[in-house]
Amino acid sequence: MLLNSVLTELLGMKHIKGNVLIVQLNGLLQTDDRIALKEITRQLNLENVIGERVFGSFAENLAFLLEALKKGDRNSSRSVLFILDEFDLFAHHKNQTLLYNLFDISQSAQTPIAVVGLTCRLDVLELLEKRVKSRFSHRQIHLLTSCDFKQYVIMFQQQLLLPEDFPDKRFAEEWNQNIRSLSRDASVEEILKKHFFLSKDFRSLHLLLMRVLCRVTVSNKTIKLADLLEASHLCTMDSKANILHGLSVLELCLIIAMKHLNDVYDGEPFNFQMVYNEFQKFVQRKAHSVYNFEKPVVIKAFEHLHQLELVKSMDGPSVRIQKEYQLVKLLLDNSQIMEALQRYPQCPTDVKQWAASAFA
Amino acid sequence: MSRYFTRLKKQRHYSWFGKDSLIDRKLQVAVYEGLCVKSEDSNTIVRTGDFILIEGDHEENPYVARLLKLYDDGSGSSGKRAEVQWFVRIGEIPFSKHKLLGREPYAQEVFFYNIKNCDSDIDAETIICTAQVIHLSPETPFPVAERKGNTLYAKFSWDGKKFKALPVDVFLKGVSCIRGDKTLESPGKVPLERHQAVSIQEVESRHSASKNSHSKDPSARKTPNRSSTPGARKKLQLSSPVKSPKLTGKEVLKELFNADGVFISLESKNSKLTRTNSVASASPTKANENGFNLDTMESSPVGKKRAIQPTSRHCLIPLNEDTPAKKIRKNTNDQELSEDLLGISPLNGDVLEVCFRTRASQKIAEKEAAPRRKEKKDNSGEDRRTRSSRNDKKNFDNSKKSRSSDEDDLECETKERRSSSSPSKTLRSSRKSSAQKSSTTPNKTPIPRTPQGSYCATPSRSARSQASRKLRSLSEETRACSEDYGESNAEIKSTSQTPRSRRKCALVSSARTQQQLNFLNNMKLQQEMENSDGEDNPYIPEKDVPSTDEEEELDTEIRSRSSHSAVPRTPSSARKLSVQTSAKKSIKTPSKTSASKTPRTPRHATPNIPTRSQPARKPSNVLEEARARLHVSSVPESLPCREQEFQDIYSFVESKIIDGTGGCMYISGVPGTGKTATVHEVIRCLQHAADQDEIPPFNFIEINGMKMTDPHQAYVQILQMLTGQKATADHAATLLEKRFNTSAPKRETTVLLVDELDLLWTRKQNVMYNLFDWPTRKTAKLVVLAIANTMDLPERIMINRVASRLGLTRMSFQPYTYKQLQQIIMSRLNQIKAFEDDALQLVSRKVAALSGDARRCLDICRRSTDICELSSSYKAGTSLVGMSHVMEALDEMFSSPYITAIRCASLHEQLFLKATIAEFRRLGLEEASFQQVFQQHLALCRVEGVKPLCMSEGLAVCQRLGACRLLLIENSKNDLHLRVRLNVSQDDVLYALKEE
Repeated sequence: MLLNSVLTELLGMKHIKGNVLIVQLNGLLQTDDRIALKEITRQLNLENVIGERVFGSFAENLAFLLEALKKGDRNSSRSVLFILDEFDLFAHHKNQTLLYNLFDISQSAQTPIAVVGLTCRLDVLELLEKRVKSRFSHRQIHLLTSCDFKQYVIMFQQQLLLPEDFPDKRFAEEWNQNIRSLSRDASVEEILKKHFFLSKDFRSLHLLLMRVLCRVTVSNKTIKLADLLEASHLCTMDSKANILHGLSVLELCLIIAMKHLNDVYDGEPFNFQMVYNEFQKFVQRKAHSVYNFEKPVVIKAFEHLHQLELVKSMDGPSVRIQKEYQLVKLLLDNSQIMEALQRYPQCPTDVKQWAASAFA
Repeated sequence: MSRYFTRLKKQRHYSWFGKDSLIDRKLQVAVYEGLCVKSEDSNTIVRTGDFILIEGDHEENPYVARLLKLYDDGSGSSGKRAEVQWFVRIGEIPFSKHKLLGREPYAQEVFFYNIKNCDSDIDAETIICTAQVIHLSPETPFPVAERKGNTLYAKFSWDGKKFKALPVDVFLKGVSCIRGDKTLESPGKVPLERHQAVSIQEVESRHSASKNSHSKDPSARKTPNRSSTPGARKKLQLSSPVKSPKLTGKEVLKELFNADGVFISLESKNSKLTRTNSVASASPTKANENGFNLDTMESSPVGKKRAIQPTSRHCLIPLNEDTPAKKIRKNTNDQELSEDLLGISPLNGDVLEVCFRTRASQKIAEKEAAPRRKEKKDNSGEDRRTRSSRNDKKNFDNSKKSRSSDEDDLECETKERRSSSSPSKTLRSSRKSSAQKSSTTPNKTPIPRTPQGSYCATPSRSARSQASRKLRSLSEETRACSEDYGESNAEIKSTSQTPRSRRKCALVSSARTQQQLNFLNNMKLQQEMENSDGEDNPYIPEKDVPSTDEEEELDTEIRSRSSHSAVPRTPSSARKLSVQTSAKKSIKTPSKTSASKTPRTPRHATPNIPTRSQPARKPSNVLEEARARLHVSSVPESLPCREQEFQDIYSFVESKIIDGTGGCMYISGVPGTGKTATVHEVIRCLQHAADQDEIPPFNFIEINGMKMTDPHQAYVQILQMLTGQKATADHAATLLEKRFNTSAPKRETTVLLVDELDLLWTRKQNVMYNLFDWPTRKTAKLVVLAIANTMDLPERIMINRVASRLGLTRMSFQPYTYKQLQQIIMSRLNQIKAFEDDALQLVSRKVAALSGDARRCLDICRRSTDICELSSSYKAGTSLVGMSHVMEALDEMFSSPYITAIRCASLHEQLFLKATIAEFRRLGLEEASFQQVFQQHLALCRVEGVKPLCMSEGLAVCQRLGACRLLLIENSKNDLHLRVRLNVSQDDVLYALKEE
């Protein structure tokens, strides 16, 4: 997608001729053909031709536009370039009318038009109806980042290096020097490798570097390894584990109870009453440090978990069941829970033991 | 202006007017002189020769036609039939042809419909009322003032392909053709002097051949008519000639003399006048033979001639001509004058012109009168009769074959009657007798009565006409005029035949009749005149029956305008009055005939894409040329490999067009097999054939299910392409329904191509139902070609009643074989050597094996030329597209992107895919939750020695794979429990990952 924007820029520079009209549509904005048609007419500046007439019905618009596009021929009218971003969403329009007509016009001796669709989906063609597909030229260009790690590091350098004509020559030199030494650093390489393994796309790299650069201040003029480490850590943080750190002991206990329920019932959904019973068992038998909270307090804690979306109810919100008996599921993995417990500050040992024990 | 609209909605009752003048015993056909149309508020009598409005698709725009013949086919109450000469409105001409007119059509404009094989036989009960058609020369502008009333203007004729200026004599020619009269017969019988005169006249006359023929006919006396008429009629006619010779012998000589004298005078002054005289002279002979005393007939021819003159030469000319005529004829016949007036009035939209014309007409009338008087001198009674007979003859001549036959019949009858009464009697006595007869048997013996009635009536007419003038109020001027005519006629005609109801009708319809008269004048058609006479007569009858009866008979014969007949009889004062009235009429009528039809201006001009600043680049080398040719849009010279289908469709459509019937055809085939292209090719050929006159012209309409937002929009589009109207879907449906349900003989066959039929599917299927139901209507003339992809579409989605209407005419387009594809490419390339043969074969084989889609094939070829060009630009040489290029293009198009995508994925993405497969294997299912897969993923990470991911990162990886559809994943709100499936086969994944 990045490259495609570059491509259109190139086009824009090349056609000094002014022979091209560009219509840009986005599947997220033009969510149906009706809106898309209006947008096309707007971008083609056909509005003025319609004059003061109130923008007509969908059908009229379609006929109008088709008529307009039909009128031209190869030699007299300007080429029209349609860029359909999020192309796959256009394929979800009813009957794919817009696509059919665009393709049909592009295949017939009418106004010369070109349609460029952009999408991340590899299987868009399968979304097209057969008659639409038949009219599609089957030109597909796949933009895949097939670089290896070396290139990735080079990209990393290129993104950070200051250009030659930077006003402050001395600073630029220092900066570039620092960048080059950084990229040779083994630990930096490791961080980059981790990112590279995770995702090859440059947007994630940009995200990482942005965080790094945010730490650069007047006093802190160069990127340090620590900055990079920090940023990388931020990027790869497990959000849910972090949430767990902020929970109260009671809520943590409830989570553990749920984990046990999950283990016992093999992922079957459970309700609050079951969790409460589990919690009661723990409190009565083993708990030394945990206060035996009253049920309303426990319910409050449970609802808090629900709001944090650590717990997800199975039924829709419309189902009117008492809160205690609503079926819910835990959205945490055991490993996450255990890790969180390890890191939880001043976690009561009996709670830890309870969590570690196979049976409550 | 909306008078007939309201009437439209009311119940109308039709009854024959006048006696059935001819009965074909074999065919059980009775021909009538007029049709009485009764509606709640008025009665109208429509006579042959009248311009009429006929019920059509649109209430606002009834069809226009001229009535040529009325007959009863004997099939009971519904057997009333009429034969018409069509005129078309602009709206009835295919919308696409409008531009041929080269200007904005005038709302009230009609075109002479000059297509031979249209169905001119209609149900007489669809006649609404009479109208007025005025002929204008192409240069003259349409009257600016809006006219209220049924006045229409004819400038051009329409032959299905182009507009032609409507020559003055077009109408007449048409008439003559129809009649089949042969002028040649006349000379032999006619004495030399006459004959010469006639021939001269013919040569000189700019008037239609029909007139000449008429003039000759009198001498020939009906024989030509007979020749044209069908067998049964011929017999009758044959009988008549036998009788006629006896009568003619003496009278003819007299007439000849008269005619000669007239001719000389007239010729010296105006050839046209001479013609009229000659006609008149000829007519007397006929009259003698027939024994008809048709004042109206005399008047009618004159009026016609006059009318013709003005139209041809414009208003001023007639005056000149008239002046000599005036000199010659001091004693003008009221009838003639009135006729002249009538003829004039229609022609001239402006008052002044009308006045001039009236003068001219008076002069002419005088001239005419003079010859008649001469004749009278010969035989006063006979003369009168002869005059009438002349008129009759002329009228007959003018009248179409059918009418002529009718006339013959009438003549025979009249002869018989006359033989008993009229011939021996003096004119007056005959008149009296005729009047008596008429009173007794009005319908049967109208002709003999006329002369008598006319004579008697003339004096009274003037008085009446004056009274009528007084009576005329501005608003009712038209009516008044008609009334005047009617009165004059009535005065003339004392016969009891014309009922008072007719008079009323006449009053109501007088405006119409006037309009018609105007039309007639414009058209110069004697037939029209006759018709109008007939109409006038009905009005007249109210007052004076006898003359009207005669006129009516005449009318039946064809000459419709009673006003002419009546006018001639009216004294000079009456003439003046009539002139005034006519002027008033002419003035007022236009105002009344406002353009009731709102002009169909396009609501919005279709916008054009801005024109490019630089012209498109021309292909500069072979490869570019080849690419241009290979583009799907470039229309090939022919469609190879679809000859059989082409032939089938062609013959199907052609037969339907020729037969004027309707039909459906269902065409199916996978995309890119040339369905639409073949149909278009067929239409192109048919249109070419139509241009060559090999087949009747037709309308072609194309709708595409994909190009409309809603199935019901199909109605709107069809309607718009048929008529240019815009309407809502519902309204369009009703309009179309009406259009296809009403008979319109002159309507062209419509070929409707429905592309992507399956998209017109609705729950009730009413769109498809209608589309396939219309062709089954007898009157629709609709051929539907439906195109869709699935062969069994009718069975699959159509309910039974729709499928059954679609019928079994099916055709399926098979996918192209590789040989065909190869041929297609070759034909497109057309000798351009851009491809290696092997390469072509590879492409076509590959495509044929996959889909047989010609579009795909062309795309591949174009792509490979691209590749070739790119590579050759490096090498700067070889321009042939070779195997390698084609292979590359094929790879590009057919290779699945998944494998490369997987190879390019990041390590963790690849691992995740592996984990997914592992989890699938473990579960034995093709679906797993993210949590499960993630466990596998962590395990794999440990095996691979990669640092494991946390949950959030894992989820991000999973989402990325889902975005490019390597994985199919659920909505992410399910978080850990979202379901994951592979969108690629496991083998592909393993294959892609194995090599790393």
